[in-house]
Amino acid sequence: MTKTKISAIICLVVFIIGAIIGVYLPSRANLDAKSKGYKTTEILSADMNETQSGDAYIYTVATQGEYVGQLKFEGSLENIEETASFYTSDTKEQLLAAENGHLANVSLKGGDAYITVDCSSPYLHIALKFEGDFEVKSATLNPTSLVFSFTSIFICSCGLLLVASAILIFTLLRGSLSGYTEIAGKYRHLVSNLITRDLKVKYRRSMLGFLWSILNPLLMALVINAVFQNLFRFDIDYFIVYYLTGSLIFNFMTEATTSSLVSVLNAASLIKKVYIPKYIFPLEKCLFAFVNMLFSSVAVIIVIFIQRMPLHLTALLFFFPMVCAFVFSLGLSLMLSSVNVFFRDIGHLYSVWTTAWMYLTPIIYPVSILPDGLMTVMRLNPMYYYVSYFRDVVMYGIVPDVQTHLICIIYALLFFVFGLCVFKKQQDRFILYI
Amino acid sequence: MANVIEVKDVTMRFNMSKERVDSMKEYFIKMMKRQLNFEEFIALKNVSLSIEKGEVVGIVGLNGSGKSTLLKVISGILRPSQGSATVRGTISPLIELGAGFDYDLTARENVFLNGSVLGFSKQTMQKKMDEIIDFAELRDFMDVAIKNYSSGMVARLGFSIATITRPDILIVDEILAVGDFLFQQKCEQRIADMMSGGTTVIIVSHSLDQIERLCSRVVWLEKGVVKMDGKTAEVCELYKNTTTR
Repeated sequence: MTKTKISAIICLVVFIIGAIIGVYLPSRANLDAKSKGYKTTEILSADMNETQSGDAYIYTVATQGEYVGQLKFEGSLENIEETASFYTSDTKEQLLAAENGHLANVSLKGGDAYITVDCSSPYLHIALKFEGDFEVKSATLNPTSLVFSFTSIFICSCGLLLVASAILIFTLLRGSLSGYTEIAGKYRHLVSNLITRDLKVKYRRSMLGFLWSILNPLLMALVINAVFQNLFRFDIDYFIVYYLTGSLIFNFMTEATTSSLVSVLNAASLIKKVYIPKYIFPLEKCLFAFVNMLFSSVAVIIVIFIQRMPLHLTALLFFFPMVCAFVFSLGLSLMLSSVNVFFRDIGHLYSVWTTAWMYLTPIIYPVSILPDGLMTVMRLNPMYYYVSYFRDVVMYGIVPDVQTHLICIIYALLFFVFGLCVFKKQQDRFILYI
Repeated sequence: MANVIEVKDVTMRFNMSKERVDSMKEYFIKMMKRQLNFEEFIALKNVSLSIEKGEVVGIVGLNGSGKSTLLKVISGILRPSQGSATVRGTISPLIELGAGFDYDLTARENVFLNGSVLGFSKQTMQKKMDEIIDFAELRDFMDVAIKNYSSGMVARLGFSIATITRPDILIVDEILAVGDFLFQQKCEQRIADMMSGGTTVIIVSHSLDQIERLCSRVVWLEKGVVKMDGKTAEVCELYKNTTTR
């Protein structure tokens, strides 16, 4: 008991430390400015001189000779280029060509751009380049506010937590983890047999058998297409493919978790009479759902060909979001199936939750229609990353950046480690409650 | 000789809540009212037992004396609240015949499924298939779903699967009461074969005749405590005299 409490406290502390680091790293320069006592000045866009020179926009800022270490532009600047140039002058009007300035580093945090300049002069001219629409609302010299960037906080805290929990698990549970490797040996056959059993039982007495796994999403797509092309129109190219790719990943997750939810309870007769490692049941349900997803992805391929959508080589990366979603679902399944043994209410609540979750994931609508507030919620939703990663590589031919990869992996491992801990702690008590 | 089963100071406690608390709402209400008091029930109390390789041990005792709990602790189904149970070798638990059968599948499919529950591969089961079918005498019914079987047929199939390979330890709980007397004789014969092959056997039975016939040593449990442990004749004699009085 004390061991668990101590490790829980360690995890919490590590998580908080990670969150602090996640705030500190992007705000380092700002804190530096504060400690050196530089003057912070806020300038509205009306007080800035904006001129266009070539493909760059030059902003002239009056600094009254104060030292400027860093400059923050606020607004919607997502399309800014990574380098900018700046030069200084004594009068407002002295304009040089943008190319003649010093190079400055631009980093984007949220919708704001931070530009390191490091100079002091009455007037500062900054040339920024954009690859699309942008809006500058105001600028701050030597900003001292903390930068709360969701991705940096998330990556730091969860990354540290993962490392800490991995170390804790291997030190605390070194001996007792041995039961979790049996899967590779003695019980391999059981898992494969249970999967074939599920397949047989699922399609018993149906004429088309496992073809339904392909037909079902196809027919679903027809219905959704009819509804959304006529009632609610979204401006999405290849809407059927958009819908199918989203629902493929999401339905896998719901199928895996909802069938795992009752897997331990349904295996009561076995658990009570024979010794079997109990994690086999949720694992088997997840694998079964995974096999089903692979069948269903044939439907996606068929629709892609019917719609004559251009194919991309990046589509070969399709397995990455699938595997991540699998690990994520497995963790969630372990958690749900063990809690459901003690509180059967979870089962009823969960079906409502998956419906809500489906609408919180961009499956039938584009992300662009969401207001900013909901977008923040969306960033907390792991399924959003898996679904959009899958679409990026299959539909748009884009390979997402390193950050997205990290977030995908961290979410998956976080849920997996947590689920495994919950399951392991509770599994000996299952038999008393089923 | 090495002990294949070592039960050390095992205590098994169960929480018996007066009412079942199955939902979160109930749980919180009960917690608020401080009604979450459990009543403890001790099924086994400081039981120690070591069994050598090749021994045939019978366990006797009245209903509720903890026999089945002890078997479940030994086979790893229950984890003891205190103490430890160590087992060296493979166990074939016959605690209930047909555990792990899927009643929607045919007998043949169930042979593979049940075999894998015991840890055998499909190839092994394929090889033993004929032997299983012959022993269970179910050749005409192998492709029928088990839900259409009679309970005797299910038990026969279960027994033949569980005893198809020679395990190091065989645990038998009251199962020889199923089937007709001919099949019971067959089962006993098979268990006797295993014993001569060096398998350690633990038998729980209410039939003292059977125990006297098969076992070399008997453990008598009463209310979760080992009351007596010794030669079959002595223990059975005393057990009979005490309980029938």
